Amino acid sequence: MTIGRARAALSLLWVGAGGPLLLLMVARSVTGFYGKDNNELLEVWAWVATLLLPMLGLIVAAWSAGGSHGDDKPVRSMAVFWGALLFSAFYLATLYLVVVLEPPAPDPWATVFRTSGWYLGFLQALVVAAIGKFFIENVH
Amino acid sequence: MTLPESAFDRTAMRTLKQAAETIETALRGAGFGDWGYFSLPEEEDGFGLVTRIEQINDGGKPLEGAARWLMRPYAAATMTPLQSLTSIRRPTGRYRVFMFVLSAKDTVDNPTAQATMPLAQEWNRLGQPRLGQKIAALPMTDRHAMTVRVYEFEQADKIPAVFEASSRWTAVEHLKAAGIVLPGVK
Repeated sequence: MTIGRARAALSLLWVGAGGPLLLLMVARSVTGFYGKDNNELLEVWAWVATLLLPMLGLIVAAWSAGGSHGDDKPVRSMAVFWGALLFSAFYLATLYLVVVLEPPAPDPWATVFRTSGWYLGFLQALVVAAIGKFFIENVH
Repeated sequence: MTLPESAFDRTAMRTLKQAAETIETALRGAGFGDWGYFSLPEEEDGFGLVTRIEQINDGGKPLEGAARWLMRPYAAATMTPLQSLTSIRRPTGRYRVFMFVLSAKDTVDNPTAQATMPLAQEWNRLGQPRLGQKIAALPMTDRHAMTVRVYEFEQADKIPAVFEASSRWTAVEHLKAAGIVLPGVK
């Protein structure tokens, strides 16, 4: 697999799954799904800002920084690529799981998001490591 | 909202206990198992009775089975994962509390404007299950009159409830919808 294809696959996963999640959070904020209290809305956007936006930013930055130079060269390690892809998919699925399970959960939504940050932060570190290794390894 | 005083037939009630029993019988017939008695402020020969908070549908009828007593909107507790993912509005629930007041004072029809769901829950928590013996033995007089106040709340799940100051139904329609049959009330 070429670097360009691998990068496109990662981008597709992150933009394709992260983008709709971001739009959903925007729509819910506008309609008052998370209340009208500014402090409570801040809780939601702190969750988005720390757990979703950095990764989307990293992917977009990798595109613009890498350009198309060296895109047709083969990926150095397929294991690293698959690791980055699977960790990303697992992490995104966990983000969705929190958003989907929050409405029926009995706890206040601010508590659900805040407590999810504890384990999602740990997962995010693994994803950053995997994606970072992939991009650094394939810089030519 | 209040029930017109003339709508409540109290001719067969000689004591406050009998009046209380009449209300209790009507509540049992409507499926209520819990209620709470209160003494009235600055009045010894009257009482208040508050029903358990019930969840109602858009037609004013109580929800079926255990859903009637859920303190969360029923629609929230039964959301499917797909609904949970795609919804951009919180499911809402409607709640109702009846407050029966038997008083010998010329009470002003002034329902509590600041009624809230937490306050109604507090009424439920603090109300006594039985009418005090001293009050129960008091005779019904011509001055005694029954007032029924209906408090209706709308609550979006996980968001503070809103008191419905102006319901779409009258007090009598609320009583009918709840299945509470009081003598003289048609």
